Parts: sequence; C-alpha cells; structure tokens
Amino acid sequence: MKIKKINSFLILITLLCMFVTSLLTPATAFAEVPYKTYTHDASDGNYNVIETQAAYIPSRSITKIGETSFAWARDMHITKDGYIYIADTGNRRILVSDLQGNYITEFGSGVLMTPSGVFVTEDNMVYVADRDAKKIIVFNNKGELIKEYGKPNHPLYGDEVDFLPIKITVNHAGNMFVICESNTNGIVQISPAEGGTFLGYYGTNPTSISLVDIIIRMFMTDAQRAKMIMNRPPTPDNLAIDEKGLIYTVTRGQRYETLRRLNIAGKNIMEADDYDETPVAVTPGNYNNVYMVSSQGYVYEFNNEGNLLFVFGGRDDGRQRIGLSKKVEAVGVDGGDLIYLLDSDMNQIQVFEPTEFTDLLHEALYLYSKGRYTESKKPLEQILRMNSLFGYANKAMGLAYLQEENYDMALHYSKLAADRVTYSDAFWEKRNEWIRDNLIITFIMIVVLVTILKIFKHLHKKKGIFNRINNFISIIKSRLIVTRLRYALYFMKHPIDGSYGVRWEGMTSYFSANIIISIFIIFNIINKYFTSFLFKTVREGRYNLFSDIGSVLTIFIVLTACNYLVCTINDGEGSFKQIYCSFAYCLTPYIVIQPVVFIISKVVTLNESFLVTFSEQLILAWVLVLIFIAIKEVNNITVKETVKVIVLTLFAALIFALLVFIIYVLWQQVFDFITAIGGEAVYRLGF
Amino acid sequence: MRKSTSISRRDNNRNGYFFLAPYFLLFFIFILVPVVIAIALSFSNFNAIETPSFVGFLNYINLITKDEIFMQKVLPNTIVYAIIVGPCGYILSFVLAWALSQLPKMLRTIFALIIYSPTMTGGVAMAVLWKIMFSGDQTGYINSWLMSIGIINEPIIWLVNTNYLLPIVIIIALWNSIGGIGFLAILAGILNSDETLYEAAAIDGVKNRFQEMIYITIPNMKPQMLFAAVMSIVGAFQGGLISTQLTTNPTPGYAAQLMVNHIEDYGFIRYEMGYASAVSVVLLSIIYIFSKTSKKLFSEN
Repeated sequence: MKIKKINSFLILITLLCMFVTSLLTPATAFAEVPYKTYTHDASDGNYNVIETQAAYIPSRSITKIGETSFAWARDMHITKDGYIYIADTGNRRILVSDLQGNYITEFGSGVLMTPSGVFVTEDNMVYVADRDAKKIIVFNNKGELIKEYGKPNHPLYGDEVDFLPIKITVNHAGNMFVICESNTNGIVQISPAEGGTFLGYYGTNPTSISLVDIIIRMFMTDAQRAKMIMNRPPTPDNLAIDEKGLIYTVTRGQRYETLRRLNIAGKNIMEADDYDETPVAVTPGNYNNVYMVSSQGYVYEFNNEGNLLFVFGGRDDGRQRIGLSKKVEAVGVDGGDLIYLLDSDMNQIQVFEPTEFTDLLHEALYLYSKGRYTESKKPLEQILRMNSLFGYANKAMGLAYLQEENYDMALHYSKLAADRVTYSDAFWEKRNEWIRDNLIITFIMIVVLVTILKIFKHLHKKKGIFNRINNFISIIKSRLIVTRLRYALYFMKHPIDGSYGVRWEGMTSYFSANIIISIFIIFNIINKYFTSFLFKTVREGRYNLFSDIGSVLTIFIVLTACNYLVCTINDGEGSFKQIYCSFAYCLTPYIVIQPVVFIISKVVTLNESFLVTFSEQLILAWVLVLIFIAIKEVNNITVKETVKVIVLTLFAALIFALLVFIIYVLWQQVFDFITAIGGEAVYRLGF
Repeated sequence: MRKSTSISRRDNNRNGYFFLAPYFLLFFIFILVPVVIAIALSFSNFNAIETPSFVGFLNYINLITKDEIFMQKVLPNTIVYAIIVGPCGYILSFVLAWALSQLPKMLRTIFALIIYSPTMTGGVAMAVLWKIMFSGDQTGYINSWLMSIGIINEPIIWLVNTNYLLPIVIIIALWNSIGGIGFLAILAGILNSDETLYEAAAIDGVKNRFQEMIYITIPNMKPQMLFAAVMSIVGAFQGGLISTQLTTNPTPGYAAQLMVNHIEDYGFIRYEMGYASAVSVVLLSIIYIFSKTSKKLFSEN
C-alpha cells in the first residue's frame, strides 16, 4: 500500500515537473524537424562541427501548380515580384505559379524539347536553356517567343564542340552565361548583339596536377605528352547571379572550390569553409549570403566571406517526411527568406521558413554588411545567448569590437572564434597602446638600471661588497651535479669535444641527464599550453598532460635503446649510459632557446610570427646536428657508418612499434577471450 | 740607456700618430661627424631648407607608435632579409671560398674576379639579368619555363606581386653577397693557413678534405671568419639597393621595403630629414647590437 502511494506521488511530481519545464522553455520546433542543423564553432580551419538550433523549419510543400502537376522538373527560378518559373522538363514546358503554388500560366509547349535551365530577368524576359534543341530560347512573360540563340559560330568556340545548354543565367547587360554539357572550357558567355555573339569562356574551373605528374611531364617529349590523358577541368554543374552581377558556380566531385564566386574576370573570390561532393544548385540570399544545395538534400548557407552559417536537411529514407528530399534539382529564395527546394524525384517543391534564430542572424549579416557594426552587436549578442559556440557570431562580434576600438572585447571574442587574424590585429593595437604609454618610462628605467649596475660593479671592484655572494655562487658551481649540468652549455657549443667529455671524462651522469630530460618535458608542456593564442596548436582549454609526458619519454627511451642496440652490432664503442646521456644533452638548445621564444611569442602578432617559426626551426636543426655528431663521436664511427646507424635505428624503432602493436592486439584477444569465458560462466552458472 | 728608450718610445708614438693622421682625418670627416650630426638631427624637425627645430624624442615616439608601415612592413622585412641573407650568404661565401682555394692559382684568380664582379657591377647585372628573368609577362625566363612544364598557366607578375617580391629580393641578395668582401677575406684566410699543419694532420690520421676543413682550416682562420661574419650581418642590414632597383621606391605594397629604403623615402623623397635621421639611428643601433652579439658568439673569449 505504502509503496504504491509513494509511486503515485512520484508520478505526480514528475508530471508536474514536465509541465513546468514545458511552460518555461519557449516552444521551439525542435521535435518537428526531421533533420539536425549544424554549424562551425570556429572560423579558422581548425573548427569543430557542432549541432545548433534548427535554422529553418519545413513549412509546406507545393506538389501541384493549381491543378497541373510537373514531371522531372530540372530547374526553377523565383523572381523578386513573387513568381516561380519551373522548367517542367518532363512535360516540355515552362510553368509559372505564385509563391503559394497557384497556377498563373504556362508556355513553350511545342517549342521546347528538354528545358533544363530557366532564368527570368528583371524586365521579365524568360531565358530557357534547351539541351536537345541545342538552343537558348527567350520568351516574354506572356509566353511569346522573342528570340533564339544557337551554337556560336565563332572560331574560338571550337568547331567540334557541341552546344548543349543545360543551365543559364543572365546579367544586367543581357549577357548570357550558359553551362553546356560536356564542354570543359568553362561557362559560355554570349552577348545578345547581332543575334548572339560569343564573348568567350568564363570562370573555367582549375585543374589539379600532382607533383609526380609535373616531374614526369618535364622529362617527356611533346609527342609523349600529347599521348597522355588530357587533364581537363570539370564542368560546373549550376550557376546563379547576384544583384552585383557576380556569378556563383557549383561543381561536383571536387574537394576544394566546390562553390565559387566569380568576379568579372572569372576569378574565384570566395573560399567556402565547407564543401559537398554532389552540389547541384546555388542561389544568392538577401543578405549577401549564399545557399548551396546538394542533390542529397543538404542545404548549406554561407556568409559573404564563405564562412559556413548552417547546414541542414538530408536524404529521405522512403518515409516521405516533410523536410527531407530525394533528388534536389534547384533552390530558390524569396523576399521573405523562405527557401524553396525543387525535388525531381518527389515532383514537389518544399518550402522552409527561417526560425527566429536565423532571422536574428540575417539581421546581423545585414547590419554588418552595411558597416553598422555597433548596431549589429545587438542581434549577435542574442544569437550568442542562444548558442554561445556559434563560430560566425563570435567572429563577427570580435570584428565589430575591433571596429569600435574596444580591443579587450575583440581579443575575447576572436579567441572564442579562433579567428587569428582579428586577434592579431586587436593585439597589435593593444601592444601599440602599451608602447605609446610606456616607451619613455621603459627607456628611463633601462638607463637607471644600467647606471645602478655600473655603480655596483665599481663598488665591488673597490670594496668587494659582493664577495660573500660570489663565494656562495662558486661553492654552488663547484658541486658535481651543477658542473655536470653546466656542461650541457659547453656540449651545445662544442659537440665534438663535448662528446669526448661524455665518453672519457665522465662529465655526465644518469642523474644530470634525467634532470635535463625533465626540464625538456616541462618546457615542452608549458610551451604547448601557455604560448600565445596565435601559436597554439591545441584548442583553448584542452589538456592532455599524461600523453604529452608519456609520448616524449617513450620516443626518447625507444630511440635510445634502438640506437644502442644498432650501435653495438655496428662497431659502436659507446655504452648505454654514454648514449643516453649524450642524447639527453643534445636537447640543450631547446632548453636554452625555447624560453626566449616563449617570451617572444607572447608579444608578437602574426605580422612578426616568422620570428617564432624561424627560431623553432633553428632549434630543430641544431638538435639534429648535435644528435648526428653525438652518435658519431660517442661511438667513434665514420660519417658513412653514422648515416647507416641512424637509418637502422629508425627502422628498429618502427619494428619495435609494430611489435608493441601486435602484442597489444594479441593481448586484446586474450582479454576478450577471458571476459567472454567469465561472462559465459556467470550466465550459465547463474550467479 | 733607460732615457734613450723612453725618448725613442715617445718618438715612435709621435710617428704612429703621424701615420695614423690621414686615416683618422678621413674617418673623422666622413664617418664620425656625419654620425654625430645624424644623431643630433634625429632629435629635430628638419626639412633641408629651414633651420632644424628641436623636438626631443618625438621622432622616435612617432616611429614606434605612429608609423604603421615601419612597424608592420619595414621592420619585419628587414629582419627576415637580414636573418636569411646574413648567415646564408656567409655560409655560401665560405663554401665558395673553400672550393675556390682548391683550384690552381691562375684559375683561382680568374674565378675570384668573376665571383667578385657582381659586387662591383650590381646595377648592370640587375638590368640585364634579373629583370629579364623575373619579367612579368610570358617572355620572362621563369614564367616561360614554369608555363612550359605546366606548373602555372598564366604568367605571374613577379615584381608587383607582394607575395613574391621579398623572396625574389632575398634570392638576388644572396647571389650578390656570395662574392663580397667577406668572400675575399675568407679566401685570404684559407690561403694563408700553414701547409705544414695539413701535413702533420695527414700523419695524425685526417682522411678527407672535410676533416681538414673542420679541424684545421676553420680553427686556423678565426679572425677572418669573425670579420666576414660581422661584415655579412652589417651588409645584410644595410641592403636595400636591390629592392628599389628592381621596382620603385616605395616598393609595391611595401612588400620589399627595407630600412634603408625607408630612410631614403623619408629623407630624399619627403625631405623629412629629422625623421629619416631617427630611422637611421635606429638602424645603426640594431647593427651595433647584432655585430656585438655575433662577435660574442664567434670569438672564444
């Protein structure tokens, strides 16, 4: 009885809690959306993909225009005044509807063969790319045929190249940009003058050539080169034009420059953060943003600079859930930021509407692009309150604060967004401020310090006031371990003589070598986690001390052991202790120079970053030279033998790693076997 | 006896000063006085026409806090240039001098003259060789070669592109500095070393030329090495002619603007002599610090 009572009480409380929480949290469309929305948490290359609030939610779908349905539609264009033009490829016509899907008109029947691309200009001329008719056909918005453009007969077009237009876009001047099937020369640019003048190829995709190919080609004769498979650039798959007349193209099968924004010279001026293997369409948004969709149904939204804002959507697995697609062909955006996706497999247009979150982001994009940085901070702050990891918002905040000359905040936000360029700029300004305020004081302090030092030196010479301290220092210096550690400095400058000392004069011991290795590990860790943000290779706030210490120790011990083993069978004369100590002493340049580099890294910007990278390379080179000389001198072998020993050591280390891996795998098997037996025993015997 | 030595010593001193006089006079007039004047002018505002007016440390403060071109372009460029051209030029000239010393005398003299010639004929070489090599259209040697093997498909405008300008200047400077004063000093040092030492070393078990170089040649010619090192560092910081000969002053986008160009820019284009003097005093102190450190590094004591 009692238990039942408590149970029912618990249930009541749970229900109450659920009710209250549902009241407290604002109603979001999370549950209704059949896909997840992702974004990047940093604007650099070093980002993580994170889940975020739904950016767009599916609102409805248009399956029929009035009473007529469309079949295998390949393209769609949404005009500013709110009409959808659909290239109804299967029915060989152009369908026009309003944004709700009400029938307006249709035309082109009998003229068009396979209309696969459609574009409508601002003065309502409808350009249709017809692949099988091999023509571009122009209608007015009443459906009357105005003009036709066939294959350009310009010599530069190429006589043997066919004219198979599949996608088209037109700029303000009436110049047509046409993507032709199997034409790898680029986008065909045709001007309307004199019945269609070929202006040239535009925006050719880059081809990639590997280093090996370049070297092979260098040694080939022209005849041999001609026989090789031509390295042709891929044809773009779709294109769009924005208000400024910049052309966007998408190309499938590429890992870089899938999405390109071309300037008037046909050069790419945008580097998108993300890529897709099967992009099919692209359209500019209303806020200098751009949407790219893949045929799988993923929609990418990028800002002006190619930073990913959102990616959402996905492939329908046959359950026909609204919001997922099967084979997307075209994308469009209307004045109210609704996204329209044309699906040729499901024969429908799906409409997505932006959430409050996205509206805020668009507002921020708009304000920022107009240069109203201070105002753009407000929507950005709201976005960050909803998702504090949103990479673009953090970056934009950093930039906005930089514009406002609030450098502390700019540093804070650009650090969150891992935006090194902004961080560096803000840091530059801060440093400049500091120098301006403290230059004279620093100068005076240096002068005073130098004079004081000079006075003390003088007094010491005259009266010997520092004799006691000097005595103390010399006592410390005479301690064995201190002399051994100080020997590292000598070793670093005179490796040949230093190796002799290690070998014959007992200048080192395991103890001193271990101290040097420990200092090396400590400096390594400090440098890894506490160096300036600009030079950090790990993300902020991540620590993995165990593996840092472990990896350095393992590498050092394995290499030393392997080297010892290899040396002993190759006439090497050094003992294990000598090799161990000399290797440890070879790390001295790092210990001596790295602290200086560390301090420098704290005060330099990206502009002076070469100071840090250059010193690090110098340290590496120095250490390698020391190791080489140490191996040679401690073992008393020739240069040729040293090279051989080094190669063999690396090989032995590789074998050792392989061995460890095999043992690990075998043990794993044994372990699995034992746990399986244990599990079985427990199960059978019923413990 | 004692008296006569003191007299003769005084005489010797007098003779010494007498012999020193021409050099000291020239040094005083052409080096010491200009340096002192430059330091004095660096505290003033001087446009080469009016009398200079005293402004205190203003030039220096402006240089560090207001002159963004200096801090963002000129200083980093100069340090990169000096760090690469100084040591690399030094190593290259050493290797070259050592290789040359292995040749018979007649051949060696001819080659030494050829290698030293870029130092004397820099301007001509720049016009006939490098400008054609790095020409910005497809007729330039490097563009033409890169295009024929298919690395690039349109010519790169080398001397305007800010990404390539500094590396090009550094390459040319390396070529230029191989055969400089340092090269001659090292060559003289190598040739000066005692033949008997090599024979002794051969008996002691030195097997090849490399060991000879490490164990005998280098320890033997420390003074010349030090001189060459200091000269190459000083030379590297004073470099700047190449940038302006290749392009203009200021260089495109300040991509290859070095400190000497900056001084020239302010001194002889804008006629802000006071500011230019301040920059040159900064350059002087940088060179002083670097040559001091290199002296500390290279000399044993």
